[in-house]
Amino acid sequence: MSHEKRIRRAALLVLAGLLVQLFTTLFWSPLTFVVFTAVGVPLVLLGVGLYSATVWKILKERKAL
Amino acid sequence: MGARSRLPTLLIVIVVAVAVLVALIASAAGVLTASHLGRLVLLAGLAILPLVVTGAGVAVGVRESSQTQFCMSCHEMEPYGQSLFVDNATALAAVHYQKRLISRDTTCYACHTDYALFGDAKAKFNGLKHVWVHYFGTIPERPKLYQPYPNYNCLHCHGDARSFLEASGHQGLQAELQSGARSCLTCHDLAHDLEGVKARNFWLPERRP
Repeated sequence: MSHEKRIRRAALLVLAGLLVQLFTTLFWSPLTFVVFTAVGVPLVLLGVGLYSATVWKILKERKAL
Repeated sequence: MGARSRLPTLLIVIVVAVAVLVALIASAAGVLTASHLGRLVLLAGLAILPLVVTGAGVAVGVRESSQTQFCMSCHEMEPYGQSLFVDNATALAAVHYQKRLISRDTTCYACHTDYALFGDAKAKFNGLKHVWVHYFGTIPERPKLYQPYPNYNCLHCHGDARSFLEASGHQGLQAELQSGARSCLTCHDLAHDLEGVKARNFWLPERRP
């Protein structure tokens, strides 16, 4: 998978997480709080993780590390 | 509009702004990776801002989920909420609420969170279990505490209070109470007066003589 594609995928994961967070923040209830913490937060963390891994890979390829 | 209700609104606006930025990044990832400025935008849009917004969201969520109203949004808690208004000077929840010994906005949380290290996290984790039981489990007729009520939750506020230290009943028991060898609930054994709720024996400020 190309770096561009990885970054796009990371952006989509972050976007999905933020949208889940947005929806749950609009309707705070015990259930939406669980969805916020169990779905919204992990999606964002997954996206940030994928982005970080891609940056790491790019830097390694360029022998910048 | 109070500061409490303004914060989630502000958070929503910020989340929308960051979501729009991330959507733009997703559509222009190729262009952005080519320039130095673009790479900075990627760093901000895909790492820093989402993490900051998520952290703020968690903080707001934890605060919102500590509100009395939040606990009362589950119907199982209704009698416990009503017990705050029972006219019974020996019922702990009612006395603490009616005498304003605890904040009315965080009434449940004030007594049902552990004041020890990680107490907040533990309370939230238990809350997740409650949501699970609410939707997928069998709701017990009378919910029970996960552990015997710890004295340090009471002593957190009462420990150095004059009324506690000078009460005749507490004389000679200080060491036992402080160590937890004797539970505060041994004598103060009525936390929520559910019988008073059933009997509709409520103290209502507007009914005062």
